[in-house]
Amino acid sequence: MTTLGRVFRSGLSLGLLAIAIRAAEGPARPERDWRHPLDWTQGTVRASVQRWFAELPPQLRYSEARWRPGDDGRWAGPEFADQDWPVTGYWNLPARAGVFWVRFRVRMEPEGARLPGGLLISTVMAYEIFWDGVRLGESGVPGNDRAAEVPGRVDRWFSLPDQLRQPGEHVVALRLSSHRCGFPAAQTGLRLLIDEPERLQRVAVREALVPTLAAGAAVMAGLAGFIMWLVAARRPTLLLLTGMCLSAAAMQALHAHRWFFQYPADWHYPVLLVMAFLVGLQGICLVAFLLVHFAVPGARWLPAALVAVYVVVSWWSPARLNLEGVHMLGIGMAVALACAGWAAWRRRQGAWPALIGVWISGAALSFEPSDYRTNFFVKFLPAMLGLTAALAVRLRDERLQARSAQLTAARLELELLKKNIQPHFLLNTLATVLETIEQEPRVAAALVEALAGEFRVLSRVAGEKLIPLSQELELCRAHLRVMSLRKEAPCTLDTTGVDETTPVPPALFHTLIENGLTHLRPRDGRYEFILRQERTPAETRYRLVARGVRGPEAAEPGREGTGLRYLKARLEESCTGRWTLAGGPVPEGWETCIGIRSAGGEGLTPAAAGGGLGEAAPP
Amino acid sequence: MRILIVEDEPLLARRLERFCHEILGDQLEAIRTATLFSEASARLDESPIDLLLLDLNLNGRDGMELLTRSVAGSFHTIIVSANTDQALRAFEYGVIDFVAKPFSRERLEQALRRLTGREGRGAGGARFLAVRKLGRVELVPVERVVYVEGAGAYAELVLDDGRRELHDKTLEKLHAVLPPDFERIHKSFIVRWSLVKALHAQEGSHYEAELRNGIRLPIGRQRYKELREKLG
Repeated sequence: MTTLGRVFRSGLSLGLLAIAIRAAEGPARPERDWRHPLDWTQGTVRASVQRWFAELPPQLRYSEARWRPGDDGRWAGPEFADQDWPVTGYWNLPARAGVFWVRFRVRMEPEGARLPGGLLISTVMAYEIFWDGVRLGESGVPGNDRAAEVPGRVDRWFSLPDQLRQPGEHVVALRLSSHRCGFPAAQTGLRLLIDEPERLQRVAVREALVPTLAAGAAVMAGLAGFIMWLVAARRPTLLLLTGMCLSAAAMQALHAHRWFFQYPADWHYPVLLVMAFLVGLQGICLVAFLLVHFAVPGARWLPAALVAVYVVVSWWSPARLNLEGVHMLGIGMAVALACAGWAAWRRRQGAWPALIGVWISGAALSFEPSDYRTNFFVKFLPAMLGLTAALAVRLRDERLQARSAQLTAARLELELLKKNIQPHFLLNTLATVLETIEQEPRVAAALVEALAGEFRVLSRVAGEKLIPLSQELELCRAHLRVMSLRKEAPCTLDTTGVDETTPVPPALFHTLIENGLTHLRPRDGRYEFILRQERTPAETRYRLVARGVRGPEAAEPGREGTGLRYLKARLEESCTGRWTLAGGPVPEGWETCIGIRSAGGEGLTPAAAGGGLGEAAPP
Repeated sequence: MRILIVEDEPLLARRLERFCHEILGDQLEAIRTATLFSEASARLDESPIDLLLLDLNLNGRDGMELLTRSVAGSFHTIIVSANTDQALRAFEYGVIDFVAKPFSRERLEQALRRLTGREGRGAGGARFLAVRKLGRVELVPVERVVYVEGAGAYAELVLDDGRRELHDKTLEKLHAVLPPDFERIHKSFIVRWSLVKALHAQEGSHYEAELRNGIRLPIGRQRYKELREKLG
């Protein structure tokens, strides 16, 4: 009984004590909601701003902000009761709505700590700032209309005097107007950082240093590329790479410029627009480079489609923070990644470095899209290096190709000359000359003359890659004159529908005629050759009919001999991959058909066929 | 002498014909020209020849086939060609001479003298003998030939394994293309001299050469003394 009574009494007294303590604390006062500034931004501010707030010391706490349109000097005071003012986010302040005030409180946690001594405000609004009722300074002059407002600077540093940094709660009041903010959105905002002054100064350094370095590097690379384009190789990809470097350099320089040279706040929106345009340009250059370099299908419509997508994105994206840049860059990177992936899948030379570079840049961008202006070396450099590597691989391959083409050309020239001083032709001719000197000196003279004629034409054309058809016909006829005298049978060449300006590889028909004379025997005492040329926009077709009798033991004229090998090598040299050669017996003798497809819709021109520095088609 | 000229250049064929007339004079019994060997070869049986003047481009399979077919014949072959780089190969196949184009009368005369002259020998560089067998031509390496026995218009090659091959050429004509090591010891025998071990004089002016493999071949009476000295 006593024990039970003791327990009861103790419980009662404890309960009374608790009630007494609660009573001593007074009535429950409305507890202010203190948060880290980052938490206030949640949902209202984009990632780029969150990043800034995340840097703040964790002990600093902000209250919710309250705002009120209108203008009253008393609103600056710390004691002013603003409980009935509507709560607002830092980024939900009205744009172009006359003068208004924003009030909020800050304090350190745990209590008793002094506040840091610096303040950095970034906004495009004009404002005055009051700290516990004391005017700290201003940026521009807030006004009730556009004419009355004077724009301030985008970023402004203030320092807190010692007496205003006491532990406890402080009231920050801002008198603002935003007629000149420029951004088309109905709301605008401000960013306010409170920290040690040296740390706030470092924000500027951090924001400006990397872009400055990047701008220097990119402008160097761009200029180097441009000079190469100007002097060494007029290839579009070099120009696109230059465009990418220079637009990146300009963007980085603009970003750095904000922190070095404070410009009026109403410049900020146009500057960001230009930067977004530059970012879009980089994306387009990147995609266009890959399209052209790897001959990706869709090279004609894809850049236009990309521009259209950019326009749509800029139209729809909230114009307040100018995030078009990030979106554009993201879309550009995605398309570029697809292009590079396609090229790697099709095993294009140099596709892998391009793919890896674009992939690194794209991945970095998708992990942390907001810092693309300040993180050039991670977000852009890998892609640029990848493209440069792809270009270098291409240049190397082309140099090797050019060298082997040079060797081929030299070898073919040699072959052509050798073909004509080969014993079978030259010594048989000389033997005939000997015979005619003794028997018919006049014929001998004609023969020597004809032979000299043939060698004259030959020496003129042997070094050429392509000669006009007229010269080729001249060579053929000179050869036929020699053979007429040697064979004592008229050897003739007739042409129908021939455009004598058409370029052809030297000794193309000469070789075929030689073959015909070797393997065929005269029909009705004569050798006749008929050359027909048929031209369509897509193809030029030559038909050479050798009229003669095919002997029983003579090899077919179409059999692969030195002559035909020479022919094929010449055709391959001048019209790589665009030629066909076929031959077969016809009732009159032998017909050879050579087709040359037009290069890219144009006819076969020496420039098109011999251009070494143009974009080489992939093999 | 009966000559066939195969040359597809009409002027050069005429030149060869003219020179043959001038050089051989009355010795020339008949001369024909053709532009292709295949045309002329069909008629060789009905009108045999002693000499073929052949324009030959040995490049390619056709040229080689033509060469072996011509050297397998009963006649001598002189190549008249511009491709002098093929001369060595032609000699290996047993042509009697190789006249390079362009050629002079003197050069052709020299070639013809190889056949008509006293020495009656070609360059003697043959390394193969072409033997016609069942319509096709087979090449027998000369180094395998031990001796050759005349058999009328033909000659029999006796090889080191005892095999015998019939050759269309006469013993004289074969002797002309065989290397100098081959010695005519009898009107019906040519032997590889390096294989002769000893000479024997039998009773009744009967002479024999003993080869290393034991075979004994008859020696002509007139040749014995000379051969005796040669063997030392």
